Amino acid sequence: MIRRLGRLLPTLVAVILAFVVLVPLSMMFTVSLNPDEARIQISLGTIEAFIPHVASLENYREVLSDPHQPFLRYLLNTLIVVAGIVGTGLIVNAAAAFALAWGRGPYRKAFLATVIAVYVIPGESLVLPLLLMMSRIGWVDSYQVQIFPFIANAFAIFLFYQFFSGMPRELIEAAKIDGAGLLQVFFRIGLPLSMPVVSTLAILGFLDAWNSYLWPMMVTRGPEYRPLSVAMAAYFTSQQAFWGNVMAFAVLMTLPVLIVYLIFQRWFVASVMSSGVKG
Amino acid sequence: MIRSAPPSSVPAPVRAPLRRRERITEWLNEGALILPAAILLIVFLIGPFVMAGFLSFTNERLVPRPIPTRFVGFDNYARALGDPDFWQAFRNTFYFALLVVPLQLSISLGSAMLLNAKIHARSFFRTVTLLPLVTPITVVIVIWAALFQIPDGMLNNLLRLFGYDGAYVNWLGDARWAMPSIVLLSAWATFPFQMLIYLAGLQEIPVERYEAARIDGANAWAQFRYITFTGLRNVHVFVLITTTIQAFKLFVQVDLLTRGGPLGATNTLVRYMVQEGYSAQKIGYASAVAILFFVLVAGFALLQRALIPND
Amino acid sequence: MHARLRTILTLVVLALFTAAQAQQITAWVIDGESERPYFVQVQEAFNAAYADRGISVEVVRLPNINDALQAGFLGGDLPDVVMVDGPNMAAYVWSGQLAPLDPYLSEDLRADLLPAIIDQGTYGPDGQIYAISPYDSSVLLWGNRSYLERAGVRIPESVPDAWTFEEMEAALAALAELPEVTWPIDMKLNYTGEWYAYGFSPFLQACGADLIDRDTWQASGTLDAPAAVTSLERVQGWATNEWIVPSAAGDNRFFGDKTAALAWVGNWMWRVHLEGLGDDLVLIPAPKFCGDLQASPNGGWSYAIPAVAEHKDAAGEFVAFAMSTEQVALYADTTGYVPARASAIALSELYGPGGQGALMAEQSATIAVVRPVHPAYPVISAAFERAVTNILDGADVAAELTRAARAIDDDIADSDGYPPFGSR
Repeated sequence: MIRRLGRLLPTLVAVILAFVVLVPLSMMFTVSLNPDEARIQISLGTIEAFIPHVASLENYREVLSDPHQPFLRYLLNTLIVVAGIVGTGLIVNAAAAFALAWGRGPYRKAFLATVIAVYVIPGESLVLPLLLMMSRIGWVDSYQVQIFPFIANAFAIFLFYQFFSGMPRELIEAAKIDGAGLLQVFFRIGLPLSMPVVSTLAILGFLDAWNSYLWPMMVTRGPEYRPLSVAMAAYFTSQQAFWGNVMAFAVLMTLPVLIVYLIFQRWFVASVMSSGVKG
Repeated sequence: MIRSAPPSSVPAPVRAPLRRRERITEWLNEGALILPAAILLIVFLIGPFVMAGFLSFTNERLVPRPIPTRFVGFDNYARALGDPDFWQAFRNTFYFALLVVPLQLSISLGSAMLLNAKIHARSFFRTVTLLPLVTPITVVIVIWAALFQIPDGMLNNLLRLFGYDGAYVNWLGDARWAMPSIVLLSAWATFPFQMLIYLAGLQEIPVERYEAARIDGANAWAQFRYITFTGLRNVHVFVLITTTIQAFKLFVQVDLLTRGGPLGATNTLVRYMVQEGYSAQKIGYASAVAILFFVLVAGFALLQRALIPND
Repeated sequence: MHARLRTILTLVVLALFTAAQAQQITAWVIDGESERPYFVQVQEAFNAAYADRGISVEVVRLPNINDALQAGFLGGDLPDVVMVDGPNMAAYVWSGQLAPLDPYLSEDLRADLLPAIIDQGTYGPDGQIYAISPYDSSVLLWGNRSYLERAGVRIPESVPDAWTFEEMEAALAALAELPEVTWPIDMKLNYTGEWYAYGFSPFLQACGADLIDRDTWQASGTLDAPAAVTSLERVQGWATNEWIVPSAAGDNRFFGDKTAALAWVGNWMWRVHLEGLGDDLVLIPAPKFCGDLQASPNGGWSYAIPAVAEHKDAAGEFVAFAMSTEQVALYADTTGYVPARASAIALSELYGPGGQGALMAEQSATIAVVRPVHPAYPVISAAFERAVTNILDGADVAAELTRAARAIDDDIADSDGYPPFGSR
């Protein structure tokens, strides 16, 4: 009896935890499915706002067809920026880390020390001088201004370095004997073997880029280059009275991440876990 | 934790010492690998950092002005340190960290232990608990704005359910409640991250220790106190420091929900800096604030290095 | 064969030539429910009228135009025509961002413009016009007639007939007693930015204070004068009584669920209010806030040509077109604003003789105060916004106003007095 209670009690707590997590999310879905804004306004604090009783896609239609807040354009912008940062970043950072681990240059110690030092600088301290710099070279309002500053990443270089320097020396030497240069060794052996690190950084980078707000807010001015996060904020402040539309926008913005999460859940968990221990 | 780099002089077993041309090829190879990252780091990280330091001694503005930019010595620093708003933002930043860190860490540790225990439908609960982590922060803010609605949003109705008899609590509009409300939202949004790190830590504690303790007759509390909690020492330090640094960077939540108000009660250092540098365009002054913020964050990061022994 | 080649070549050259002649300009304008139909119309009308001259315009509506302008000024990447908020003109001109409009404005147009619109767009140091608004705006009290009648409140009909402060306070107290009314007045605290300097400075001016001394360009002694403190203490009293809709309660308490009985807001809400309240909607003039004085704000978003614009002449044509009597009248009737030209007022349905907007036009003509035309205006506006929001949240009025005045004076000092403004 006590045994069973001992197992039941944690389950009960887990149910409560799940409720705390799910209730706000279910409100987002429920409200987004309700086409009647006046009704939403009245019932926002009641049970009606949490359990769907109508299922209309009217709000979604409105969000997707609003020419002033082109959701699909924002989505495209976000995807371009995320792909740009994560894709280029993985190769650039891995390459540098590989050179640090297996190159011969005398710069390596100083470089590594710099990477570790740079890791301490909070991005928030850099945004204003960077903004000044970008504005003077005319990069404001573009994709590159959202991508380039975030490609090289001290944390990523460090994580790759730890991985590469742990690879067996014989592997590298054998490849070199075949006449391959360091560059070839990196692409043929280093990068393919580092897939666990790649997936960790890809997932964390994806989340980071999807969430980033402060920088894109300062360097984009309209739908042309603006990412979803900033658009969501603007939509929220401009549509205060229309919760249905706001929540539909929110659901649409969350869905891509949610889908990626549900498919890659295992890697997701692993990547966050390993990010912590290595810090 | 940094492993030592392999020695750089490698014996070349097959061919004699590298000839000149081979040396050049090797340099080119290595350069191609290291240079992209090196250049990007210099231009986009080190450059702006040096610039922040330089600009903090000038009265530079974001948009060029018809009057010349001047060196102003330590004026910007003196002004920041003499500005009551700066100190209010400073206090708010610490207040937020002080509230959110313990709350978030205890929720994280608690739920990590829960999800590490043998409960029914564990993988379901794991999937669900991680959902806030994949919900974009702007979306989380929007959802909570609805929960905080006055006079009759969900949280106000909950209060009434539990017998609150005032008109309503103006969660974000009342200087006393605004920061705690932001804390609640922020903890909800990010606790799964620390939870996963705790989970990783828990899984590294050998099961034998618990078995041994049980044989010695240790009760559940003692097991938690002496095996779980102690076994997580390094994880605690890591999570504590990173969560604190994360908390120092509070910006989006307050910028969107309260605009730093009411009465500046939710203005933070980062928001203060952005207001001065971006909205008021005083890049020089804001750079001084940025440097002060850097000192604060770097100090905590070094603390972590000092507290976690290198293995 | 040769002849054919020559024909083709001639055609190509001709096509290239006309392409070079055809000018496509871009205009950035504000975006709001009430303006949207007008801007769709003006693009079509202009392109039809100028098709034979090879000029066409693309009117881009931007919901957050201030961000776009900020980014544009930063990157030097701006279209041929922009709309700027009237009071910010001086700041933009001072930093060299705008080109003068004088070459494009005819004598007829100048003679026909409302004086306040000329004042708002004229840059002091060189006396040239840099920004020109097709409309004038005003703020007054919008009321829910059935609530007012049930509370037994007198409804004034003309500007001189307005409520005194005591009368208004009694009205708020009476309205607060109605069961449907949660908050007697909505003062649009959900807005951010310019609204506070625009919508709340009339309370100062009606008491004899102002945002800044317009001769010495100094805020201390004016913004924090005792009259200013009294005035805002009165507004603060309403907030303390929980008579004002709090910012978190959203936009629609007056016209949506009708839990607010009055709204202090400008013309742009006209259509929304009309849809929400129908015949119940009444317009009530700005109150006599201290004794006998009244004030209302004015001005608004204006057309301007950036200094970096490529096709300034074509841009000038567009501005002149958008400022034609007909277009100005259309702008007013679509949005609910007062037309900026006397000749357009006669044409307008709302503001013409017997129109519903008579009261608004009367306010514009009698009690409107232009916001200070000075490069420090964005700083003045931001400092005042902060002071007002803090005061409504319960801060000490005198302390907040002193702090705002000091912030403004500090900025002016930092900028060496914004030469040539500071040469006193």
